[in-house]
Amino acid sequence: MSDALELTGLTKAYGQGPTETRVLHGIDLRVPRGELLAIVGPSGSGKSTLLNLIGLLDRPSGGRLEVCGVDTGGLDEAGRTRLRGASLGFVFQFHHLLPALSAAENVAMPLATRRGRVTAGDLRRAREALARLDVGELADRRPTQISGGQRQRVAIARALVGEPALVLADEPTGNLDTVTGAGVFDEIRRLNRELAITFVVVTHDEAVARQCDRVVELVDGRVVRDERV
Amino acid sequence: MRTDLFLALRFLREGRSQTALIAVGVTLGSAVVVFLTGLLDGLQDSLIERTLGIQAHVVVHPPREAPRPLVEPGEGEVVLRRRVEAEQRLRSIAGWAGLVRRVEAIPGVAAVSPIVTGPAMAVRGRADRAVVVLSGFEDRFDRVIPLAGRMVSGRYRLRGNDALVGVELADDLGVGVGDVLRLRPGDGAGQRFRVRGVFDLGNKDVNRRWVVLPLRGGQTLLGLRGGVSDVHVRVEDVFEADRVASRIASDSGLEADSWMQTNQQLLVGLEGQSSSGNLITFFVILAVALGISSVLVVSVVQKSGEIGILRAAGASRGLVMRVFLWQGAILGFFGSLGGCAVGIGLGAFFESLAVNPDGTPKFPVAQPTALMVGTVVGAVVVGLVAAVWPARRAARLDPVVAIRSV
Repeated sequence: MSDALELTGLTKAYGQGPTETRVLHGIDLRVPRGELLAIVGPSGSGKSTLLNLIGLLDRPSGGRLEVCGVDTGGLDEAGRTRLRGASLGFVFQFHHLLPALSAAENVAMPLATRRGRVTAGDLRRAREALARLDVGELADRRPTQISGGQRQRVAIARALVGEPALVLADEPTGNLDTVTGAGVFDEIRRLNRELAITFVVVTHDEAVARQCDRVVELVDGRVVRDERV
Repeated sequence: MRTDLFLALRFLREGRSQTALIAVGVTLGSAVVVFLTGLLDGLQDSLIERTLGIQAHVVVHPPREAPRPLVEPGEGEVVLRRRVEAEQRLRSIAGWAGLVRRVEAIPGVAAVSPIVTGPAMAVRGRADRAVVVLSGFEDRFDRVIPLAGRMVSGRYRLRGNDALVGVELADDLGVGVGDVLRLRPGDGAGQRFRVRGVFDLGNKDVNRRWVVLPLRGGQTLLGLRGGVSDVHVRVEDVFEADRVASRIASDSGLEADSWMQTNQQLLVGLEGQSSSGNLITFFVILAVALGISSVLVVSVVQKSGEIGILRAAGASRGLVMRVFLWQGAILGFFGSLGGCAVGIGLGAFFESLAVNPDGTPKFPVAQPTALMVGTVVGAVVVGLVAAVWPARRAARLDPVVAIRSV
C-alpha cells in the first residue's frame, strides 16, 4: 500500500525575482499510513505553509507531492478539490464551524459538498461521528451555543466523517486551555489508534509533539530534526 | 436538498436583518413596477377604449379625385397652369362586396363594416342641425362601432326607416324614441325616419353630430344606391392598424387610413406614456439589482472564512458560486411575490379613490396575471444577474487566504 504522504524536494516561494521569498527549501518526507506525525518549529518556519501544500489548498513552487498515492502535480483545480474531499480532513486552530449551521449540519458538510445533496443519511453519519467524540448531545446546537473544547471536538468530527485517509490538524489545541487541549489531543490519539487514520499535526507545544509517533522539526523552511518518539 | 440551496437558505436565515432589509427593498421595487405598469397600462387601455372604441381602426375609401389638365402641352410647347383642386364627390367603392370578403380574410382583422356616410341636415319642426349620416348593416356596424351597449333609450335596430341619434342631438331637436325625424341631404328633398333609439358614446360632439341609419336608407338618402362610400375595419390589436391598412391599400388600390395616421397626437401621447413608464421601471430594476448585489458583496466579505472552510471540506468553486446565485434568485423570488401583493393592494386602493357614477374606477389599474408572472420571473433574473459578481468573487477566493482571514 502507498504511503499516506510522500514529499520529494518540495519548495514554496512567494513573489518573483528580487522580491522572491523562499518559505520551504526542498522538503523530503514520507509518512506511512496510520502514523501520528507532529510538525514543530518556531513561528515563520513554514509549518502552516507546508500543511496548506499537503492539504492541496495551495500549490508548491517545485518538487513532487503525492497524497495517498496520487501525484498531485498533474491535477487541475477540480481534481485537487475531488482528492481533497475524498481523502483529506482538516482541523484548524480556530474551529471554523459555520455559524449558520447546527453542529450536525457542520459535520455533514464534507459529505454534502462531495455528493451535492444534504441527505438524511449524511446527517445520521454526522450524529454518529459526534457521538464518537462524546458530543452527540450537541448535534442540534449552533457553534455559538457550545464551549471552545466542544467546538473543537465538533471540528474533529467534521474532519473524520468522510473517513479520510489523512487528517491535517493545524494547532488543534492552540486555542484551548491546558486541560481541554489535553482532552482534545487524547481524542486525536485514540482515533489514530482505533481507526488507523494518519494524522499530521502542526503544533508549537513540545508536550503535544512528544505524544505523537514521530516529530519533524522545521526551521527556516528546512527539516532540521526527524525522529521517532 | 441540494447542498448549494441548503447553504444559501442557511446563509440568508443567518443574516436575518440584512435579508429582511433587501427583501423589503425588492418588495418595494417590484410593487412600484407592478403598480406603475398596471396604472399606465390601465390608463392606456382606457384612453384607447374611449378614443378608438367609437371609431373604426381603419377606414377604406376611394382615392381622392385629382384635378385633370384641360390642355396637354405639345412638342416644344409650354403651358402655364393654375391648379384647381377637384371637388370630392361621394363615390362608391367598386366591387365593395368582394373587398369586404378579402379584408375579412386578412389576419388580425376582427370585423368589417361597409357603410355609406355623408353630410345632411336633420330637421324637426323649425329646428335643424347639420349632421353626419352613417349607414350600415345592423350587425356589422355594431361589431366595428359598438352602439348596442350604449343605448340610453329605445333599442339598437337598423331596419326599414329606423334612425339612431345621439343624446345631444335628441335634446337639440326635441326628439325621442318613436318620433319622426327628417333628414335632408345637401342637394335633395329629404326623407323621413323614425327614431328607434338614442345613444350616448361619451363624446358630446359625436352625440350631437351622428345619425345612424340602415345601409339601404343611407344609400337612398345620399344618392348612392347599391354602393358604399367607405369600408370600416376593426382590428384585434390596435397597434397593428397601420400594417392592416397598408395591406388593404396595396391589395385593393384604394386608400386606407389607420387611426395611427389620423390620430398622430394620440399615438405620440401613448408612446410617450409607455417610454416614461419603461424608463421608471428601468431605474427601479437598476436600484433593486444594485441593492441585491451590494448586500451579497458584503455577505461574501463577511463569510470569506466560511467559504474557505467549505472549499477545504471539498466544495468546488462552482458549488460556492451557486450558493450566492441561489441567494440572489431567492431574494428576487420572494421579494417580488411580496411586491405583487403590495402592487395589487396599491392598485385596488388607487382605483377606490375615484369612481364613476356606475361604480367603475375613473383610473383603472390593469393587473393581468402575465404582469405578475413577468414581474416574478424578471425579479428572479435580476436577482441572479445581481448575484453573478459577488458569486464569482466568492468562488475565486483563495481558501488559504480565506481561512486565515477568520
